[in-house]
Amino acid sequence: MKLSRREMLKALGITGVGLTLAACTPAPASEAPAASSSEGGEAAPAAAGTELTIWFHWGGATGERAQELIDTYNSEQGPDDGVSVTIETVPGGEYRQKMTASRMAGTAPDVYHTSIPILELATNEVIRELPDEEQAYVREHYLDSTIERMSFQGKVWGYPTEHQAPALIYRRSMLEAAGVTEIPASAQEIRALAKELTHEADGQKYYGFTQWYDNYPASFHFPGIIWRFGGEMYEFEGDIPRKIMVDTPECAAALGWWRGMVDDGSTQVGDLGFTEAWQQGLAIMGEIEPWFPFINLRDGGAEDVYEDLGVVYVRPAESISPVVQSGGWELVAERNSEHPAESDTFMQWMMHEPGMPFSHFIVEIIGSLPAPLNYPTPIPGWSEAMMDGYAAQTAPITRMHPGLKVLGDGEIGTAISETVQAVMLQQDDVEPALASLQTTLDEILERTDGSRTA
Amino acid sequence: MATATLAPRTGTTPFWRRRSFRRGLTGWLFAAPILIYFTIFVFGPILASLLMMFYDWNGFGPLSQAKFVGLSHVTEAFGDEKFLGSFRNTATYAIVVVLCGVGVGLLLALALNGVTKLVGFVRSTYYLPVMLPMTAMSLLWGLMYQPRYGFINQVLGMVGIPPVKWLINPNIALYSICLMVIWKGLGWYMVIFLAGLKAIPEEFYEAAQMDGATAWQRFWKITLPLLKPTLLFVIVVTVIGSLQVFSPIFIMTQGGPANATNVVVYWVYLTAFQFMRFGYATTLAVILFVVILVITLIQLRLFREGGLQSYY
Repeated sequence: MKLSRREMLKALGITGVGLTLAACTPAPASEAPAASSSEGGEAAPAAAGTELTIWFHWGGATGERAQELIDTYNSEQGPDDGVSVTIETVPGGEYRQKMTASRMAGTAPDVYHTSIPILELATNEVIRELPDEEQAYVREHYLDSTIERMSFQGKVWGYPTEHQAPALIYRRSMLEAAGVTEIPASAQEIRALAKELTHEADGQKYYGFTQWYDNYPASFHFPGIIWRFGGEMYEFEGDIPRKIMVDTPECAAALGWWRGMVDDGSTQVGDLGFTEAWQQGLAIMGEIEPWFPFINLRDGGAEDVYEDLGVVYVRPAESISPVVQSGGWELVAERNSEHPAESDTFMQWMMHEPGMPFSHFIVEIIGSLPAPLNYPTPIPGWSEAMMDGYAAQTAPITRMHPGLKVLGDGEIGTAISETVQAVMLQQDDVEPALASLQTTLDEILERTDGSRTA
Repeated sequence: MATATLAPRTGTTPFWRRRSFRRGLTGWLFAAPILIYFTIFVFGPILASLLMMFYDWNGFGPLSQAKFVGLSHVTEAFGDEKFLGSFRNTATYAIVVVLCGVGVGLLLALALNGVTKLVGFVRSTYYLPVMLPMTAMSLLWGLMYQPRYGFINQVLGMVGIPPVKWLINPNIALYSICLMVIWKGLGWYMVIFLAGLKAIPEEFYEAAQMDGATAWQRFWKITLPLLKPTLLFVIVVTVIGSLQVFSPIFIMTQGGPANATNVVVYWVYLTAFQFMRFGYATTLAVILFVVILVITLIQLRLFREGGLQSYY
């Protein structure tokens, strides 16, 4: 059969329209996800084979362990709940953009494991608050600082899965070799000892104190060191930040403490990254959260360094209460999920005592401080030093990182990091850098949180 | 009867039955797939970006929550020290990459143009880095630049040169990234310039040689003018690419140390996806687009004449 040009065009056009329609037509009802069960008040039983999606950020071996955890749910509890869970891996740094895109496209997951502050997720209606009884459960079973992190407008919006707060880590053998019998615990003692311990041997330089100045820890640790010197970084009116204060003597003393160690030549700044210094066994002291020794030392090929670690919380001056900033990740439910009841059931399995498998995963595999109050000890895989320095000494003095209650925290953190880098690399002096930072932060706070009302 | 037959048809025939319309329709139908594609995936997003400039939207909430702010983002951009600083860095990066990349690429092409043995092998060797992904190269060079144990400083150490803080010193970090990018693109410049050199007729050189022209005169009076279209292509493409640099910055320095490598596209990325200021980020992107457009038009104007056709 011979087709004329017109017939050919018609055929192509009809085929094209047909294909387009087929691609754009929604799935038939039998393939569509189960209907929402939350709106009618009482949760309907889960439809058999309801599929939930959860976002995790882990890859590699940790990702495999996370998959094992979800496989356990799918094989042991999932059939009873009529739920099957699938992991979607989204790198931590890409959460925001993927969240934006997937919500616009209607392909958002049902549950997120995320570190984006509750304030940001709740005000933008990304997540929904936990059911009342679960809010009560969290309030009863978790550490205060983690409950505060999950709270906004008087409601609890998620389960705190992670809890990270810094402490001083040090190489016991190196301190012993240097004849140090008393572990330094105050900022001044640490600086003095760092200078004393820094030395060269066999062509290698050993650094008395390591600083992670070129990445997130600079801004994460910033409020904490200000507290240590008796200052405050924010002034809040209820939940709303009204003032930010970095051009202060306390802040200058805090940043000056970091910079002083660079001037003393006691740090690896400019020579090596924080992680490399520890992995190569060249770091003697440093201040960092518990995930670091687990992931980068114990599981990162430096088990000997991990085994040699001592851990102690850093003591402030006598008149100041010991306190450290804490932050972390949370398990939260997507507001527009079509399976709210199933998501809740799944999250309860992950977080509820006595099993709390997700807490165990986070604490034992990732190396976070336990957020639940009744977490069983001793913790498998944790050395005695880690148990003592982090779990016993640091956890009780944690206070929520104030940036988690600030909408402009991302921009503020970036501005702080840039300032800290300039000071640590001796490009700028402490006072002028802080004065300039103050102007920048005032502008950011006014723009991002200035119009917030209770 | 005869009058009716002679009446003009245009007044009575519907437009869809007219020959001119049907002929046009056929053309439009052929063009339809690509037009639909461009409308949805190119013009649509461009239009949406232009509109987004005038709104404040944080990317999380529905678009209906976006707040109209008029031209305030444009005003803010021109007073934004970070943005202006990123523009200075981007301009420095572009100048270094274009001048050095094109210069060295041209020299390499001139050198290889006379090579007769192992031509394929030499060209392939130089072209190899072009084929490797920028992400992998950035990670690799990040390790090579490592101040204490990196390959480059180890080699320098062997000849008594003290270690250089390639990515840590704010005064040289941007140039270190330029070096990696130039190295990676050298093969591409070389291949394009070689193609341009091969297109220059040999008789031009023979005639010049007979007239007693020196090598430098031959290069200056023959090679360079005849290579003008090739140069235009390479420079335009390199300038556009350089002004849009992102991957090596994102992987190697994340804009640091102390903002020394913060470039426009990286700042747009941070503004949009870390600070969740989509309207403002779009404004910055549109400003960058306008700058690239103007620079490209200037280049096209400057290099408009030249090439082989100017000799005939």
